[in-house]
Amino acid sequence: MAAAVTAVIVDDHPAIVEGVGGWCAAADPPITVLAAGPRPDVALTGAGAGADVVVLDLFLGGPVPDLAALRTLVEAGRNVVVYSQDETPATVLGCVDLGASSYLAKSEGAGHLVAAVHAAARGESYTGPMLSGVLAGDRRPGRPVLSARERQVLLSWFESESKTLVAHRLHLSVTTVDTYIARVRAKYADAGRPAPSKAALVARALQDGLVELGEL
Amino acid sequence: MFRTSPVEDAATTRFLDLRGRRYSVSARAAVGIGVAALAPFAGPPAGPWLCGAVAVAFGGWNLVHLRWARTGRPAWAGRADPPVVAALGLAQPLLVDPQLITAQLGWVSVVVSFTAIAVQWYRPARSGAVIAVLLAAAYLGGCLLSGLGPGEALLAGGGAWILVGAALSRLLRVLVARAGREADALLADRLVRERAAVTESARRAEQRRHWAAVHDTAAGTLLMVGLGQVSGREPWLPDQLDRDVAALEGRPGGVVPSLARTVARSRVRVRPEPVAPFPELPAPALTALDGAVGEVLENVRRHAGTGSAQLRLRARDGGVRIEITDDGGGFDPAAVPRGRTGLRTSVADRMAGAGGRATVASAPGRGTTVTLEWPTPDPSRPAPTGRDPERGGHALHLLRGLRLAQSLVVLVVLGVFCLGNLLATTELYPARWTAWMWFAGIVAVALADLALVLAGRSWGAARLPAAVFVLLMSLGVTLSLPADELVRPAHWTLGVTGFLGVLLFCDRRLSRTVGFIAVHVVLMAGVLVLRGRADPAGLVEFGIVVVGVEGLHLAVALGATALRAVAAEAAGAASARAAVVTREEVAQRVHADREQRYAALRAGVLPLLRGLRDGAASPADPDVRRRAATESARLRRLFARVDDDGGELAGELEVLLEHAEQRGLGLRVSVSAPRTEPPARVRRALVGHAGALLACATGTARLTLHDDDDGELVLAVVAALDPGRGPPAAPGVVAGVRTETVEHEGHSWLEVRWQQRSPR
Repeated sequence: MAAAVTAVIVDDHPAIVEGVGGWCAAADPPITVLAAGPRPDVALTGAGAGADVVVLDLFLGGPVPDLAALRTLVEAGRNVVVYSQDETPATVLGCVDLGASSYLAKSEGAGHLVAAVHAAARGESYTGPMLSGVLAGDRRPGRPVLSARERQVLLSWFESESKTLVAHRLHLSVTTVDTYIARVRAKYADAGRPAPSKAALVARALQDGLVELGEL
Repeated sequence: MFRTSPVEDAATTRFLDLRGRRYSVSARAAVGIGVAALAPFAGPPAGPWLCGAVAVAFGGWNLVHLRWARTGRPAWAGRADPPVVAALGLAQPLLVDPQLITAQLGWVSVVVSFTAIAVQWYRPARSGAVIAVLLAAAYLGGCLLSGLGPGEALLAGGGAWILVGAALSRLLRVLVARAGREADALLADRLVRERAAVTESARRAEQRRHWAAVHDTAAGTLLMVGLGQVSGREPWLPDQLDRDVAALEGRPGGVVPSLARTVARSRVRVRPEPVAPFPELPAPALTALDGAVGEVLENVRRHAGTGSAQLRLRARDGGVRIEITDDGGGFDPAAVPRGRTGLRTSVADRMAGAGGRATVASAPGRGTTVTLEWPTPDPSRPAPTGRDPERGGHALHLLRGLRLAQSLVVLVVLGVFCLGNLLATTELYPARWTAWMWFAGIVAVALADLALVLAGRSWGAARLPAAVFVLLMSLGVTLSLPADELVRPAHWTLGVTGFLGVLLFCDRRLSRTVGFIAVHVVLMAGVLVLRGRADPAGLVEFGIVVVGVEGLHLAVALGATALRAVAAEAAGAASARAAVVTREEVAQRVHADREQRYAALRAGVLPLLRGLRDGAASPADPDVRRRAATESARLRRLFARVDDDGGELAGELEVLLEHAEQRGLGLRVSVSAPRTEPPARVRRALVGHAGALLACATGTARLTLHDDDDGELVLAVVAALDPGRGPPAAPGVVAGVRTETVEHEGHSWLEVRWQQRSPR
């Protein structure tokens, strides 16, 4: 049993804070919510400053995603799980580039938030189905080069939301499916602007033998 | 606002003007230098040395003239060219053997007619006509001085041809210019529409972003209620529900409350009129309207002298119109005093910056009315029906007009000049009927061309056989005539055969026409050599005919090529413009659907939120939770992606999903607008496949729509199958659409793919 994980929730919606708190309490191993509040300060000062993981809503009282808050947190070396209603690819990829450990749509919370927080606490990335679909559809110039199989795994995970189904369909084991997804994230962590958490993600992927240096 | 720059406005026309001059002057220079080089060897009465000196001087002059055509310098060279050529015409008694003039073989005749033709491409119509007449007069004068009779000079000497050629050239120029203007208008219009479409799209995105922000809170509350994470006893819940209801009712962010605050701040008594329900406006528009109203009221306070105003607010076309009227002193807007310029700049600029507009109406003693509108009423807004097909087609009609003109000219040449020459020389043929046979063959091809043009058809597969047939007929004449007549008017096919090539290959690449003419010239030259007429005099005469006549044919063919390029550009612009209009119409329709769905959604969400707030509905009630989950999912689907317009397929899928939700199916949906909107039959197939599987599903199903990297659109549905129902009924096969199903542990995973770049 791993040590208890701690988290801080940055969201201006009390229902979301309540719901995320509920999932964290029921998680195994349990996740202790140290603090919650509508502004990013809650994760930088007081009890929240020591939390392993920050669960961050991008829309804090404005119509435009607050990427500055994410940048500040990542630069402070925090592991951030973005939890947002915005599924626009540009926003999602922007957050991945900034060094978010994970980006979950609000609707994905119930199934994936706990897994994402656990992964972030270990310094790993977590890729939910929505993020998977966005990565597979990334057509920006300079994007990481994905193999056909990697893209196939991403899209299947996006379509089915079930790793068992993906494994069955592509004749793989669930572990191999996870490996493919982790390799993609390692490639993304290595691309673009360097960020502290991205460096950690790459280091982690290298240690776990998911990628070789030459592949990045 | 979207005015195009003059360069864009007239790109094609300017191109034609510039190239028309360079090209026509170059062609004249090439032909002029070519025949002048042969001139000293064609027995000039003044002797080869004097004629040679004139030829060299004329060649040099052509280079000066060419430089003028390219650089515009020296400026006088353009004006000096017609007199130089006219002087050549008058000097014919010294430069050209009179016998050659009557045989239409004079080199000066070639230079003069070519100049009359070329001038039409860079002079206005009137001066072009005047120059042509003067050149013809000088040429006829030269012929008379050479001892020819007036009739001889006009017909046998080809004086009349100078005017006919000039008129034909002008006709071609007018046609090309008209096509160019069409192309320019279409291109300019297309740019305006593309820009308008981009602006519209940005406006819609802004509206969606606004909706999304407003509904984020309600969606969040309903999400957690639906997931059972809210018990109903939370202390924050009543306040949150109050905020959610207020946001949906549009209370805090709407135009009315924000204006009310501005009006309250101003020191003007405002009598607002009662207000109808308002569309929600994007934040920049609200800010601009607020600021503008504040400025106007401040102006009323300072200048109107009444301290009161009337404010009228009206909803209009998805935006608003605000009229602020005071009954103060008013002013003459044409003579604005200094103090009022603030109204113009601050108010008008503010509104323009947000995509709106401000207008001021006032007169001394009649008060002032400022009208603020957002968005700006857009006169260039694409109308549902346009003149597009006709306009694009018009450019193509011009091509047909060109073909018709060419066809008629060739028939006139055949019927007047060739027939005239033939009638006078039938006794030269071995048998008279063969003379008529060759003639009939060539006339038949010209008539067939006319018939094809009238029927709007191309030569198609018959083109090559017809070309070979014409060359054979032409060769028949050449072989029938005695060797002495080969460079005389009796050899009528020498001059006209190339013209038939122009007709036959008019709608093909220029190289085809050139190839045809080259084959014709090589055949003629070959016969000349075989028949022992390859002596210097014969070759010089042949050269003058070939350069003069085929130069004209090539010039006509080149003009046709230019016209075709312009027409193709115009047609391309028309179709691109039509595509923009169509895309914009689709986007507008989709957006209107979204507005409608949004209104319907609000009708479902509001009572639910009010029920939760007022305690009529409990978050603990499973039915309330199910409704909350459904409504939250629908809100998210509507607002998850603010950067695309959705598309018709997304709209049709939404209808399917709402039906499935009504049956109690939980849905997890991720849909992005496809790069290419599929045609209706494909949309039916995609929605049909998805619907068939969803109809047999139970519990929760997943539906996704995305573009694959290899240009395929992929609709996927994953669902747990209801054991109580049979397998999904497969809809019929649709071309270009393929399906793949994977079954595993009671789940069915269906992928429907459509190749977007399918072969037509």
